[in-house]
Amino acid sequence: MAILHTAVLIVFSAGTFAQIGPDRCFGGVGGAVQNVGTHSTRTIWSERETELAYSHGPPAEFELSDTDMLIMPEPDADSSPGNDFDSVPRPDCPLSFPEGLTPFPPTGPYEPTGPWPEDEYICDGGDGNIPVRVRADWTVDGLNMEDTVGHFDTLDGRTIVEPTRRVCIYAPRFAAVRKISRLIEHRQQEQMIQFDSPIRPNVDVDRQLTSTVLQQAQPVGQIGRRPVNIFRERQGTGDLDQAQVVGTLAEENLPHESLRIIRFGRYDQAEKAQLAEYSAAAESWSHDSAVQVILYKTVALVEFAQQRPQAFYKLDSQGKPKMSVVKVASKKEALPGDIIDFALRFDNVGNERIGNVTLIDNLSPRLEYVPDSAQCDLDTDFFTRKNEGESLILRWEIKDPLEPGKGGVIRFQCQVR
Amino acid sequence: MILTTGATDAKMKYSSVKRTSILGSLIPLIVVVTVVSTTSAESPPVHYLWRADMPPGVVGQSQLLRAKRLGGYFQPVQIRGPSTARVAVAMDGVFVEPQRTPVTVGMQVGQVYRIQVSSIPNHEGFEVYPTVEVINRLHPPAGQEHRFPLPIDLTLEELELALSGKLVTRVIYLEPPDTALPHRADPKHQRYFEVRAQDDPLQVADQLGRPMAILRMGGIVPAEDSPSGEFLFHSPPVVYFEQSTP
Repeated sequence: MAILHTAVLIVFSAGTFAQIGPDRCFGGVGGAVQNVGTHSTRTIWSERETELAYSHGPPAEFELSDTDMLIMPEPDADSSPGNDFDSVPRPDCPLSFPEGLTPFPPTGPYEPTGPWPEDEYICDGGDGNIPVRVRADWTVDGLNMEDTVGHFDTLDGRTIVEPTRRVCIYAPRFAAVRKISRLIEHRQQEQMIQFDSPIRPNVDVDRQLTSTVLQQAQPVGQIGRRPVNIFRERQGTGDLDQAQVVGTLAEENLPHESLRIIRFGRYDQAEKAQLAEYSAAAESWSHDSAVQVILYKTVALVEFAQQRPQAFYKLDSQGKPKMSVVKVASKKEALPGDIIDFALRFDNVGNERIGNVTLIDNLSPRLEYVPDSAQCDLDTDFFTRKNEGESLILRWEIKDPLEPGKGGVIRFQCQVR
Repeated sequence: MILTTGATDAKMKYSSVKRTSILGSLIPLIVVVTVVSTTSAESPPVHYLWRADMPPGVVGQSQLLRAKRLGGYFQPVQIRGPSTARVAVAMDGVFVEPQRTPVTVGMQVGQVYRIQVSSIPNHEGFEVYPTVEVINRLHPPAGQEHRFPLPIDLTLEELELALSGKLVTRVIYLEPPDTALPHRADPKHQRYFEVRAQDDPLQVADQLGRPMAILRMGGIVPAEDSPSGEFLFHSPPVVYFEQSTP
């Protein structure tokens, strides 16, 4: 068996080894021998690569057996963090890290970071750059364009703000910048022609006429060949078969509202994909406008780390007032002039009564509220006011307090400008 | 006005005073937000390398060098014109059969396409040959590419200007939704801004949004016998889509 100056690089998170405890779970070189077959965690370098990587010499020597098994020598006394070969975990020795140290970044399911490019989408909802706060006199601060929030009062006197998720609709709009270059810019060139006056015009100049170019016959035989596109008006018929009445709304559930979270306020894991779709790429809402909740001047902790079409917030103190707000749109993409139905589902998911429930939607400049389209299955006061984007701020004030487990649905329409 | 803990009749505690005060208090807030956003939106001066009066293709090709993802994509472009006008795009060195507008075709980013416009109202027998240079692309949801084409408007006014020998340059740009004009868009007429003589429409469009295409329209006509390759910019690949009902 020849001793090879070949190194085995263990692919591990370097820099965390220095924090490993004194039990030396990572220190057994013998573990490397037992885990030779774990190719997914190591890379075998050639001698040349090893020399380049370790110009000061290989960190360890080990032998290659006849059965192609790597047999490493006994570990030396060097157990410093810089020796990667002392960092192979034993199977019977679980990983342990000091408190506060995360050996690997947290992983989870893939989540898109937001609609891209942003200038092709109209977004509405969420809490934008400046977090919305409600003062003691109920003055609302930080209500940015496109924000949609709800706030309520708790029995112990706190006012809690809860934003919805952003609803993004693909609706690009174009304009143009025009410039007309006129002939007056070439007047000087026309005067230069006078220097050519000694040259008499040749009679051939008048010989050819270009009239034949202007008389080209235009074939007209294809005028009626294009078929009518019959698929444009087939949107949304079957889903209404499963519609259920929500409260006292003027209409039954719209196709995009036939979700348990909208009808009953109960989040069904099986509807996650569908809810994301009706929320107009709800999973693609950007992080910078993620939900932010302030409970009595204290940042509340979100119960779930992953982004979802809905979010629950809690304040670990006396009582647990919570409100869930979900916003969905009927379309994921729209052209100028299209009507979009929005639905806001709000529920008291805490364990105590909440009151003064108020929902505010600051519409985007590209969305125009359809007059008299707002409705709610609860007794509400509805107000509108112009915002800085020449659109409207919609405001619903629920008159009666919400008991735990109770909720409602707000529905309104907007036209894409 | 703080509610007492454990109040049973919360409705009585929830004063209606705030109901009328909140919207009124939003006015100074909105003004402050507007001022802050305006201040933060100020960007440092930019030196523009490209102008709209550069030879057709220069801007588009530079876009391909800057972002290779733009290459090879056929951006749907909808050419709209007067009611009776007919449009033909060059394919394989010749103009295909003219079609009534709107005509939707797929054009590659960075290429220059010569278009033949005929049957112009009140100018039958005359033709205008504008060029379209696509310099960026859209990213619609899958399957929705044809529903959101890039609109190229050939207005009768501009066609007449071209027939009279003037050069019309129109830079089509994508409006950012947060700064878009809060007016309802007319789907039949594209809103445009006229720039001054010393201004460059490409730079102005870049300041207003994302430039997507450059339309140049003047009095140039092809040779009598047949359009040359240079005139047609060597007929870059084009895809004809099924035309929808106007």
